[in-house]
Amino acid sequence: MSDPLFLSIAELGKAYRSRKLSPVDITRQCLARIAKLDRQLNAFITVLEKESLARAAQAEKELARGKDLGPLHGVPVALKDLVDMAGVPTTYSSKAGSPKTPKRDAPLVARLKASGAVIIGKTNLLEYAYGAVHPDVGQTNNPWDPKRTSGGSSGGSAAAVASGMCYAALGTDTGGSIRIPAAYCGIVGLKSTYGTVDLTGVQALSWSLDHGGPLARSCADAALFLAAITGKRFTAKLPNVKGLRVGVMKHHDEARHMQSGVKKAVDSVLARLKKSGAKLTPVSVPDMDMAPDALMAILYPEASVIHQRLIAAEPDGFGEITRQQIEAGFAIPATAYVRGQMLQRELAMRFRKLFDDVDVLISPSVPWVAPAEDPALNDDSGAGEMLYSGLYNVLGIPALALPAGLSEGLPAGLQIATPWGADSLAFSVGAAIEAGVGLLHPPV
Amino acid sequence: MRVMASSKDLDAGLLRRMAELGGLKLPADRAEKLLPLAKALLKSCEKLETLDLEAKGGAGSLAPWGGLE
Repeated sequence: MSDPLFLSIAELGKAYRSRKLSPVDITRQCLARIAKLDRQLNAFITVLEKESLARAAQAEKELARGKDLGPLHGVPVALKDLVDMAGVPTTYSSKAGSPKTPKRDAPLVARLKASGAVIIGKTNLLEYAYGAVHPDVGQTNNPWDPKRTSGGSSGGSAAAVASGMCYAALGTDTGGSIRIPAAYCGIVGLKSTYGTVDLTGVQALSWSLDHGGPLARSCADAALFLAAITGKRFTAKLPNVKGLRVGVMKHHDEARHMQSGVKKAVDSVLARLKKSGAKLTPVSVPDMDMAPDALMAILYPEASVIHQRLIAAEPDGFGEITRQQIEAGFAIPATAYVRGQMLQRELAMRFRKLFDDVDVLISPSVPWVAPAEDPALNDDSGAGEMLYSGLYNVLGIPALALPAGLSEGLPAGLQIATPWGADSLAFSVGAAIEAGVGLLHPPV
Repeated sequence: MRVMASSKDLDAGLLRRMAELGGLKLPADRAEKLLPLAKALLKSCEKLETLDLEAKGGAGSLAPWGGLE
């Protein structure tokens, strides 16, 4: 058997049920891997050693007596540290307003527990998921090259999954916060359709743009995790891509940001799809390149209202960049916020028409591989990082990041977007691409 | 006709007034620090002003994400 920490969730479940592996042993191995690697990676804020071993022992007993809670039973997973888990501090990777120890589980955590998953810990994030590292917490380093970032804001979840510390993890995504770290770490991340994941008990950043979703090592694993946190059914069946209508996204500004190695990796996936019978058409939609402006006009004021009390009470608790972003949001004119919403609606109508002609949209996830540090949200590099991802937060459609291959030894990411509610189609086309690219394993 | 403060006209004093209207009292030193970010954000807002989008009224059918069209 290959390294058990890198098995798929289905393979792990099979090994549990045939008693070749045990939830307690696997949880111990995950904990040992965290102890070994996390000083270097800084992926976890809280490791739940006792609790996870107790849950694993319970899962082991339940499986032994035939009580099977499903595919995640006994599987170690992690939560981004902005979601409520009863009795466990939530820090938001900040020094403002933290830590808070909730009395109740967020509904998605309750569902995860009911699915038998072993929650092994809570992961590092950009402060309050708002684009910048708190200097006292530090960035999550990349398992492919610890001198680089894992991306954000769900970087801790991505690094933990990529390095074999757990099998899947929760992320949230307001402008790319699941897909950017998935791309940098060479794993799969889905920003599900707006509203699919119940975000009650999850710290909001922008209620119009926030989405939840899984980070995992394969499309099939991500589909299982999404099913567990939503109670809905998702699949990642390998489709026959013959006749699949693929819109290849053409953004006005992409040549300026694009690294040649990322372009090469994405182009080679597109060439394979074409060879398999998919119909590729270059597409763009009027005004779609202004989606980042709409995103900023909506995100900043919503985030400022959300953090209004805290910024007044504990301004020094925030890192300087986060503090500036929250303060600046108060000065956005209401008319700009409304124009952002108007463009959001208009683009949704235009993309609904576009989906009459194409089944899926494909682009890179990020135009480059993992940089040393996360770029600032509102400068040119921040705009480049969110070039492909932010549009789909504005639209609310599902968008899946997955590896397209390697560029100079680092993962290059590809993104698949599908119509509202077609999350399983994204997983399925992703699974077909994954079969050609293969799963990536970082050197750590 | 312009109805918003322009990013070109923005200085620390105007930024303080705008933030205060939005609900945050901003000390002068903070306004100075914020100025580059606030100018960049206002530029984004100005780009949105150039769009000629129709303001639709009434209770339309449901938009794809569940809001009103």
